[in-house]
Amino acid sequence: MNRAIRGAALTLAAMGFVPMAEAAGQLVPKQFSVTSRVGGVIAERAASLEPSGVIGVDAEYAFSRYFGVGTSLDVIRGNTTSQDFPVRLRFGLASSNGGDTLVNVELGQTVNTINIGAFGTLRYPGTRVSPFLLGGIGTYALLTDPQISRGRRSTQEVSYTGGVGVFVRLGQRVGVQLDARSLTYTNFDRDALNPAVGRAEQNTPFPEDFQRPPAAKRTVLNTQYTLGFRYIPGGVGGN
Amino acid sequence: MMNPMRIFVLAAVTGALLVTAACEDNRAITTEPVGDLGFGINLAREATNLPRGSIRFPATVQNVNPALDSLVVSLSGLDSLPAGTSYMVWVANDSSTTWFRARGARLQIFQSDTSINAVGDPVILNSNSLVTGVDRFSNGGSNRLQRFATSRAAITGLGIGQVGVGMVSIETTADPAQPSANRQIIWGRRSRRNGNIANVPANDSTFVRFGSFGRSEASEYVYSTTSIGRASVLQILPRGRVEVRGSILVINDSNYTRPPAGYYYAAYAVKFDTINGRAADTAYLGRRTTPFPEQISLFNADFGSENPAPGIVLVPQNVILGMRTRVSADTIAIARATPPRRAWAEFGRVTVTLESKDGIEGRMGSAIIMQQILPQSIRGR
Repeated sequence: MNRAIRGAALTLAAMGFVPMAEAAGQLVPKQFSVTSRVGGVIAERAASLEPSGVIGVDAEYAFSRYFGVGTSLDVIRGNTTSQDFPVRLRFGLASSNGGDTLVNVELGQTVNTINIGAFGTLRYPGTRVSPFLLGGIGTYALLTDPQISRGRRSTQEVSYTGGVGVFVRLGQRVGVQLDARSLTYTNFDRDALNPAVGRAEQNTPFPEDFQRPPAAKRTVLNTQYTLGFRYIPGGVGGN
Repeated sequence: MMNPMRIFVLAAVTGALLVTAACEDNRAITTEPVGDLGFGINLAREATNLPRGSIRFPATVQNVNPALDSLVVSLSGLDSLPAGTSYMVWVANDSSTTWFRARGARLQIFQSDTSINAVGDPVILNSNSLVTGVDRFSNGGSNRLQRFATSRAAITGLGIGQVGVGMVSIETTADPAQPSANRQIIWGRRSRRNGNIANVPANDSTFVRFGSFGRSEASEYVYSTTSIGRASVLQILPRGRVEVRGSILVINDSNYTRPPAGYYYAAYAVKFDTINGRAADTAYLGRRTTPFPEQISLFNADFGSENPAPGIVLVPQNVILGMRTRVSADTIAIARATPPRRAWAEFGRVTVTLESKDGIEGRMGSAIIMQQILPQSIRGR
C-alpha cells in the first residue's frame, strides 16, 4: 500500500503539486488534531442557493503518517436565490376576485445548513507542506427561515464530501490548512426553499418576464473553499 | 517550534474571522418587489349569441302534395361569411342516408340596431328585408335573425320523400352535391319530439342543436359551454383571468368544451371611446394556444380534427383543460402608447369568442364565451 501511495505522491510531485523534499511527517500516528475553518460555499445553480459563508471544525485522528480519520461539522448561513421563487401578491379591489392589482415579488429567504460527517484522509507528508485528499459521508440539515416559511421547516438527508487540500506547518503544534471540498446533497428538494410552495400566489401569469431557474435536481453539488487553523494537542505539530 | 505569541495571534485572527462570519446585526432581506405592477380581473362566462334557432318541418312526413308543404328554418347568432362561402340548408330522412338541398327560399332578415340619441338614451331600430329565390346565404351578425322558408317542392329530388332531419352546413363551393362532412353545424331532428317519427304531429317544430352533426344522436357532438352533450354529469365551467403588466396582456383560462368541427377559440380586446365609453375599435389578440410554456396553437382543436395537444385537449371528454393568450401592445397599433406604461389604455373589454374557421379571421364574431370589463386601473391609466 505504501508503495502505491508513494507512487501516487511522486506522480503529484512530478506534476508540481507538492515539494519534492520529504522529511519528518507533520502528523504523528496515534495523535489527534483539531482544525477550525472558515470560508465560502458555492452551490450549483440548480440548487437555488446563493454563495455563502461557512465555518467548520474538523477533529482528526491519524492512524499513520499517511492515513487519518475524523469528523467534521460545517455550518453554512446563506440565502436562497430569490429570483427563482417569483410570486404575485394581489391588492386593491377586493371584490375583484382577490384584488385587481398585482405586485410581483421575488421571494427569497435565509437558510441555515448544518453538515455533520465522518471522513478519511490520505496525506503525503512533507517537511513544511503536506498535500492531502479527503472523502467522507455525513448528513446535512437544511433549516429555512421560520418567519418567511410560516413555521419551522427542515430537510435532513445524506451528504457526501470529497476534496483536496494542503497543510502548511507553522510550528510544532500549529499550522494553516487550505482546502477545497465538494459537498454533495442527496434527495435535495428545491421546493422546500420556496415559502409559497403549494400556494396559488406563485403561479405568475407572466412567466416569460422572469428568470427561470434550471431544472431542479435531486442531487446537488456544492463547492466549498476554506482556510483552517490546525492545532495538534500534545506538541505533535511538526517534525 | 512556533513562538507562543505567534500561536496566540494566529488563533485570535482565526477566531475573529469565525465570529465575523457567524454574526450579523441585521436580518437578511431577500424579498423584494420587481418590475411593473400588474392589473387584472377574472373573466366571466357569457355564452351569448351562440348559433341557435328552430326548424319547422313540412306538415307531414310524406306528403302527396309537395307544393303545399313548407320548411322554415329560423336562425340567429350566425357570423357573416366571406365571399365564396355560404350557409346552405339540407334535409334528409330520419337516418340521414341521403341529403337534399333546400333552394328557392324566401330569406327574411330581421335586424335590430341600437344607437344612442342626443340625450344619451338608447334607441332601438328594428328593420327587416326580404330576398326570394335564395339557395344559400352568407350574412350574419349578432343583431340578425334569418328566416329561411321554402317548400317541399323546391327541395330538389326530395319529392314526397321523408323529411326527418333539417341541417345547415357551411360550404365553400357554390353547388355541392352533398354537405361537407366537417361543416354540418346546425341541425334539428323531427324524431326528438317523442322518439318515433311516425307519431309526430303535423307542422312539427324543434329547436336546433349547434355542434357537429352525427347520423345518430350517439355520434353527434352538441356544443355547450357548460356541459358535454349527453354527459350532463360532467359540468364544465370555464374560468380565467386577464392581466396587463406593462405592455403585455395575458389571458390565462381553463375548462372549455371543445369547439365543434370547423370552429376555434379566439380572443379580442375592445377599445372604448374616451368620451362616452362606447366601443370604438377592436383588437384581434389571436388564436388561443395551450398554456405556458408549450403554447401550441389550438386552432385545430375542434371536434373531429387530429388532436394538436393531447395533454391539454382531452378527446374522450371533449374538454380543453387550459388556454392562454399573450400579446404585447408593441404588436398592435391601436394598443401602443406613449409613454409605454399607458399601453392598453382605454381598452375596456376583453372577450374569448368561438369563431368559424370559414369566417373572417380578425373580425370578432358574435359567439362570446367569456368576457370581462377591464378595471379602471387598465383602461384609465
